[in-house]
Amino acid sequence: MPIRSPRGRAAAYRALWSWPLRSPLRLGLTVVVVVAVALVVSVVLGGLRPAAEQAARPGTSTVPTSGVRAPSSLAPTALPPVAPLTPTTLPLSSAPPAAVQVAQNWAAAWANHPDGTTNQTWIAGLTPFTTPEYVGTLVGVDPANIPATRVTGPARPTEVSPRSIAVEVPTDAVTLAITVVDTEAGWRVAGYDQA
Amino acid sequence: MRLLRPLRLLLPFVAIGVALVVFLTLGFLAFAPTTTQQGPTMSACDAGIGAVGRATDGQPAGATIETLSDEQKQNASVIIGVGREMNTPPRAWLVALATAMQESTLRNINYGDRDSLGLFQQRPSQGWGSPAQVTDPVYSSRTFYERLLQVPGWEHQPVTVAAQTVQRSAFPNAYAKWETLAAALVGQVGGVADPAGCGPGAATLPEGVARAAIEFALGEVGKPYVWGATGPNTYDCSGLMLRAFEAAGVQLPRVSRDQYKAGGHLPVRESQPGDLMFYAYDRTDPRTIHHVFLYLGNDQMVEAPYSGQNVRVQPVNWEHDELVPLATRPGTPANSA
Repeated sequence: MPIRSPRGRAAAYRALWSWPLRSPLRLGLTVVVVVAVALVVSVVLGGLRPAAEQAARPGTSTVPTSGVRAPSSLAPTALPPVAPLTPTTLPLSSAPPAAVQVAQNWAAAWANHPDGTTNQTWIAGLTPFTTPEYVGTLVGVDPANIPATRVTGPARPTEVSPRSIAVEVPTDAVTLAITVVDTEAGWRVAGYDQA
Repeated sequence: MRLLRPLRLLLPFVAIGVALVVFLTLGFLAFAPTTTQQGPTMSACDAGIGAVGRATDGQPAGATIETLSDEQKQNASVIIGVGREMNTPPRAWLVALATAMQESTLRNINYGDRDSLGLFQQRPSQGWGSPAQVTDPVYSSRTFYERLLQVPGWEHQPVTVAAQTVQRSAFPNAYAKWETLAAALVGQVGGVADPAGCGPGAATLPEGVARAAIEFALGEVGKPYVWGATGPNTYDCSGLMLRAFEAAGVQLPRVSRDQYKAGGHLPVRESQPGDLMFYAYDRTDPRTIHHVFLYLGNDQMVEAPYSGQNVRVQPVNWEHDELVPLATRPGTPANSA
C-alpha cells in the first residue's frame, strides 16, 4: 500500500478531482460550472450547423450562402399561379388574305433551293416575308437539307387572332406550320416547324 | 506564476483534445463534400428547357419518358454511354438526345429524307460516314459529339441552337420541343440530378443572379443596337438579355417570344429587379412579342431598343399599350393556372 504523499503528480491530480468533494458548496459550484460550459458549447455548435448545411446543400453554384435568408424549405417552390395570356381567337374564315399570302410566299421561297444555293441567297428570298429577329434563326440552315422543292397547295389558316395567325402550307415533302405576325412593317413570318 | 503552475497538469488532456479536434476536422473536410456531389451536374441553369417546346405553336411534344419504347430507351442509353466515354459534360448528352429525338424519334432507322440514315439522320453524301457507319448507334453518336465539341461556345448556346449548328437542318427550331424529354432522359438514364440545372423550384431567383444579370446589362450601356446581334460589341433586344443572364449562369432561348416562356410569370406591376418585361403587337397574344427588356427596380429598365439607338436605361412606361401584362422570372418553374 503506497503512502499518500502530498507531493508529486498523483497528489496534484488528486487535489484537483477531490476539490469539489470537500464541501457541498464546492460540489454545487462545480455542477453549475459544468452545466454552463455544456450549454455554451451546444449553443455555439447549433449556431454553426445551419450555415454548414446551407453550404453543403446541392444546387446551382450561384446560390450564395447568407444567414439572413429563410431556409428554402419554407419558401414557396413556384410563383403564385397566373392565368396564361390568351389572345382572342377569330373564325378561320376571317384570316386576313394578306397574312395568308405572306405564308404562301414564304413557303415558296423556303422550298426554292436549286442545287448549289448558298444560305445567303436562300435567306435573301425569305427576308422580305420574315421578321428581322427570326432571320437570325435561319442563318444555320443548309439549303441542301431542305426536303421540299415546291409548294403543292394553298395556305390554310389553322388559328386566327387579331394580330397573329397560324397557317399550314403543303409542300411535296412535308407540311409547314408557319406563324405569321402583324408587325409595324406588315405581316411577317415569326416562326415555323414541320406540321 | 505559482498559482498557474497546477495548470500544466492539464497539458496531457489538452494535447489529446487538440489531436481529436484536428483529426475530426480533417475527416469532415475530406468526406463532407463528396456526399453532396453525387454524379455529374449541370454547370448552368437552362431556363429554356421545356419553355420553347410548349411554345412551338400547336406542336406539343407529346412524348414523355414513360411513353418511350424499350428500343428508344436503349438508344438513349447508348447515346449517353458514348458521351460519358468521351468525357463530355451532361450538357452534350442533352443536345445529342434532343437531336436524335427530332431526327429519328430515337429509333435507328434505315431510311430518311434523301440519303439520311440512323439515329441522327446523318447523310453519307455530306461526309458523315458510310451507310453502315451512320446506322451504327455508337459510331453515329461519336460523330455527333465530335462535331458538337467543335462548335465554339456550344455549352452556352440554347440546346436547339447547338443542335442546329451541327445538323444544319431545314427546321432550325425543331429540336427545342424535345428539350424537356431529353432533360428527363439525362436525369433518369444518365443519373444527373437536376438536369435543367435550375435547382429546386423557387418563386424567387437565387440571390446574386438578378444582380449579376443587371450588372452585365448596365455594363453594356452605350453599345449600338444591331438586328440579330448578341454581343459583345452590338446587341439586339433579346441578344442583350441572352448575354446578361448567361453572365449570371442562366441560359435563355434566343428570341424574345421564346424568352417570355423561359420561366414563371407574374403580373408585370409586381416585377422585381431582374425580371423580364415584354412588348407585343397584341399584348394579350404572346406570339406577337417583339421586344424584351430587363427590369431594374424603381420603375427603371435597361434595353437594347431599336436600330439607330444604343443600349440605354429608361423609365418603364407602365401605360405603354404594348406592355405585356405578365413579366417572366427566368429559370423559375412554370406557374400557369
